[in-house]
Amino acid sequence: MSADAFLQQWARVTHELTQLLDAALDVEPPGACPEAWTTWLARFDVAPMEENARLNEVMREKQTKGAPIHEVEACLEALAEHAAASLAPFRAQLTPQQAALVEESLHELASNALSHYRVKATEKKKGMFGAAKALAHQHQYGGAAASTGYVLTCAVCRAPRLGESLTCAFCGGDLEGVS
Amino acid sequence: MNEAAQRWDTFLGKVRARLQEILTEAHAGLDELISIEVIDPGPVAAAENEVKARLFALRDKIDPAWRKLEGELGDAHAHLEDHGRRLESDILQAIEAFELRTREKVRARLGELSAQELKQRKLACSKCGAPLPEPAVQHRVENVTCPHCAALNTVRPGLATAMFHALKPRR
Repeated sequence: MSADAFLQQWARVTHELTQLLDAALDVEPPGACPEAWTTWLARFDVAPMEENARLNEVMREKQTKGAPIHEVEACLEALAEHAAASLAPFRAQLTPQQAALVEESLHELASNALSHYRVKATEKKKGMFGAAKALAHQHQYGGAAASTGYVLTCAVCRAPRLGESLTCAFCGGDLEGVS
Repeated sequence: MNEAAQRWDTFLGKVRARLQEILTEAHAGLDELISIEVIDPGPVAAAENEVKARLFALRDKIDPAWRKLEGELGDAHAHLEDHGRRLESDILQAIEAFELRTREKVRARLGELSAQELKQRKLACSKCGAPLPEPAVQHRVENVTCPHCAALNTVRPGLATAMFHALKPRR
């Protein structure tokens, strides 16, 4: 077994971790138990919480979205265990320093991911028009402005335009300038 | 009413309540937004799109919910599907009404700004500086002859005035 095989397996673990957190954060309304989320619970043999317990936890944790933190934590711990088991055959190929680093990463995997999840799941939602208001405050076109005027002038003699014609009444030049 | 029919009724009630919540939040937010900026159409368009996206997403919840329940309900309750269809139609009508009301609010604000522009504008010949008379048409580019030096001034309307007239409903 090579280091490449180890990296491939590590990539699979991190990919699954990302998918798990995305699925947990996609749970709407907060504390619900849609089919997509129950699939993950089943994948890691985690029993779903009772409906009232789910809603109470979400309220207690002040979650604005996502699955209950307790369920996510259980899934993350199971994922870390699965990862440790799947990576075990590859560790012999690693140097002692690399093996120690992997051990440390696996140890922190669940707790770091849970901290990240907690932040995301309790983020306060921006108002419906947050982005639109930020754009409005830029006043890109400068807001209302007084009207302006100009006089076309002759490119040759600088005389002003005196009628509808675009030819200078004095020298016959083109009225191309502005004053 | 059996349990599935009760669930369907409760679900539609929640969707209807959510529709009202979104519209209430949208109108309040839009009023504030319009008071901040209407010359740039970007912010109002972004807000309109946000509201429409939420309302379309709400409408799109109805059909899958019915598909889940129709097996449990059976043919005797097939008429309950119409309640969902009616709510879908109400949401689409709410979107149209919201767009119309937004246009009216934007135009009303542009009307206020246009009145300010016209009140504040002091036309002067850009050649000699003498005061110029107001053109007959104020919302378009117009030529005005200076009564003092006879130079032909091309006068541009203010942005709010031009936009206010551009958004005038056409028959």
